[in-house]
Amino acid sequence: MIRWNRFFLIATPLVLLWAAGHFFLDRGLKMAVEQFGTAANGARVDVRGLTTRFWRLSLDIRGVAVADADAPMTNLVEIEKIRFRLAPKPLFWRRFIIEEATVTGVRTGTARRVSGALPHRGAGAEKTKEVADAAVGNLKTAYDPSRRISTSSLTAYVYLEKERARLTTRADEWKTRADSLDVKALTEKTQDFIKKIQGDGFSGLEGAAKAQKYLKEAKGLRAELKTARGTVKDLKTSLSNELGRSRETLKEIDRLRREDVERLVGDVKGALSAEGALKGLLGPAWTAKLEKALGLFEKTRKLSGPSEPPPPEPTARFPRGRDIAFPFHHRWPVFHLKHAGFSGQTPDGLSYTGELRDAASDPVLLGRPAVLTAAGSTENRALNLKGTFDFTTATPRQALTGSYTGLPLGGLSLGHLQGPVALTAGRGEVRADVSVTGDALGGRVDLRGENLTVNHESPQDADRLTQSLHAVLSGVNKASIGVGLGGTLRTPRFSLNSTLDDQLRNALKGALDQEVARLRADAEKRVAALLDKETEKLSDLVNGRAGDALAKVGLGEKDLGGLDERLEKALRDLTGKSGATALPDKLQKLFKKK
Amino acid sequence: MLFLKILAGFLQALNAKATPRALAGGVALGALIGLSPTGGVQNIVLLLLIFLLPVNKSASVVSAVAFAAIAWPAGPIFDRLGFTLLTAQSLKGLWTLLTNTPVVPWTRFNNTVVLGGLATGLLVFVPIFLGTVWAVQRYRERVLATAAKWRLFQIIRASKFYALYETFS
Repeated sequence: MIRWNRFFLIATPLVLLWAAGHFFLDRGLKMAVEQFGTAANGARVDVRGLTTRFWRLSLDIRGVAVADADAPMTNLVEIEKIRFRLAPKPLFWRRFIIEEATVTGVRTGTARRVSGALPHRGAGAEKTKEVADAAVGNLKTAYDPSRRISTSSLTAYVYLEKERARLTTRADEWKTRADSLDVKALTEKTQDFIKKIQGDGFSGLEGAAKAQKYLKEAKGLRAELKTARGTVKDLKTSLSNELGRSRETLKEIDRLRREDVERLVGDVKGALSAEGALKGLLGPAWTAKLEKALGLFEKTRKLSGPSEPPPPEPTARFPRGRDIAFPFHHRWPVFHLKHAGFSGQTPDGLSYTGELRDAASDPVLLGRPAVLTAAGSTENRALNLKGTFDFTTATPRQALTGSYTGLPLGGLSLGHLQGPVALTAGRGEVRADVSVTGDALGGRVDLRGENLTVNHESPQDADRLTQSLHAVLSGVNKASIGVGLGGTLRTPRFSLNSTLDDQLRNALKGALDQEVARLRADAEKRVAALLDKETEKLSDLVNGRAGDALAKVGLGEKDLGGLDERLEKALRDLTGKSGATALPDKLQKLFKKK
Repeated sequence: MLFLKILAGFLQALNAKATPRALAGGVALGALIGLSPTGGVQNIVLLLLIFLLPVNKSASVVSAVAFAAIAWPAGPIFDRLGFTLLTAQSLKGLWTLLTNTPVVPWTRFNNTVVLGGLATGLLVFVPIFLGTVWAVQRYRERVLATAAKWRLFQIIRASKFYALYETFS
């Protein structure tokens, strides 16, 4: 007899598992692919459909569209269909070995109907756009003095601001110190004493005694005069020194101001040189393309790089934890794509086919590098590409060599020179040989263009410089541009050279001096507008306060001046009147100059 | 709503319907699932066991949720425990054997958090089972008899949740 109760107990979870797989597995996997892809790409990754076939161990992904993070209305790559076929045996050990994959309908640079931008892009992306805009933007606008010169960017202004408070305090101190100087009372007292001596009579012993008394009083006055004169002298010296130093500060502001103008003009000159114009015209476009390509190197390195050993001390990383590896008797990495064949079209319609071999999560275990090849040709065009991604040794090495002949250049946007510059016709040849060994980046990318037509939308009222550039660009029908790569993946260095250099240099020769002179005048005007008023105010403050203080000190000095002599003379007269013989010696001693 | 139904079913079983051993079995198996929230194929095996063995299913679900809530903050402890076990020299042979055994890698036993959670779950399995049997018996003997008189219980009886609970009676 069948125990139905027990049968249902066993059947229910199995039916539930089957239903979950049947109804939700494909949907869940599609969502997972989209989410992980979007997170890795930085822009939307859409999948039209996904089907798993359990018994055949295959997975079909249809309509994959990977949006370009920098141009959200364009797809970086669009794939019609991907089919993976898994090897069954390794699955028992949780190893995903893809025996064969076919990727068909690969196209790049296709248009999207909806934007692939993510709602919240990082500040880094905005900053990159800002820098790119500044680089591509009009050179002269970018170096416009009214934009580049601000109070914070001027060293002279920053210095002035710093010194303003100090000089104001110092000027106030001068006034206080000069005001506190009072020699008038002493002058009057001395003058009264002289008058008294001159008007008094001295006779006999009584006269001699009086004279002695006056002599004593004169000694006291002399000491007071000496102290007052010393004070005035000190104050004068101190004021003169400080005033000198303050004037040095004003001179320093002026020197820094000239330096600021020179620095700005230097920048402008650099940007308006033939090399600067070439960099402005071609640099941003090429740099952006190369940086994007180099980003792919880094991505493959992250995906296929050798896994790092777990740290010796456990650290909290909930909920994921860390996977510890143990010896395994098969040479199976966790993921291994043995072979993938792909076919597609370039944006200009050249069909190609290619293959990728041995992409693995643990290349050291596999012992073979991943190799990518692609080729396609028509009557007048040919594409050849070979990439080797070798992570089997301690020093990873990625190399990419390729060529594309007969590349249509019409529609290629370049930079901006008072108006957009683009190629409207022409064919070219690109040759690339780039390698990354460890961190070191090296190689070259060369583009040679022929039968070129350059379109430069120059405005009607363009200045002489732009007109010269326009004339050069209109006459260009062939050019070669080379980009040398150096540095590291994280901080790549690009050196740009081109046959356009000489043509631009000749054209700019005359126009450049005139333009730089005009920009220098603009810069000086702008600096003057920001600095002159403030410097004048500070100068007035220093000179005004110092002048007042020095005038006061001068008056005091004048008041004291000659009092000594007059006092001496009065006392000499006194000795004559009193007839005392002992007095002249004492007087001599009193007024003896030390 | 689904969870409330499960909770009501669990309370119904707790109060009278299920035997203490069935409840304890459900709670202990649920604890094993809850303590390895990122676990692999072993959770499917545990689910099958819950369906096949005469254990209370509602108790398993409630227990799995409750232990998962505990497991979340205990993650760093599981990580440390798992790391210690996986890097112990004396156990290296066992882990190598398991790595090379078909299907076992699907348990993700070589992950520090999974192994830490699983080890903790296995360690507490028997104490949880025995403790639950004892607690259910005590609950029915002492608490249930007097709880009907509590004001709180009367408030609960007037609530919608109790009506839901009644539907399982």
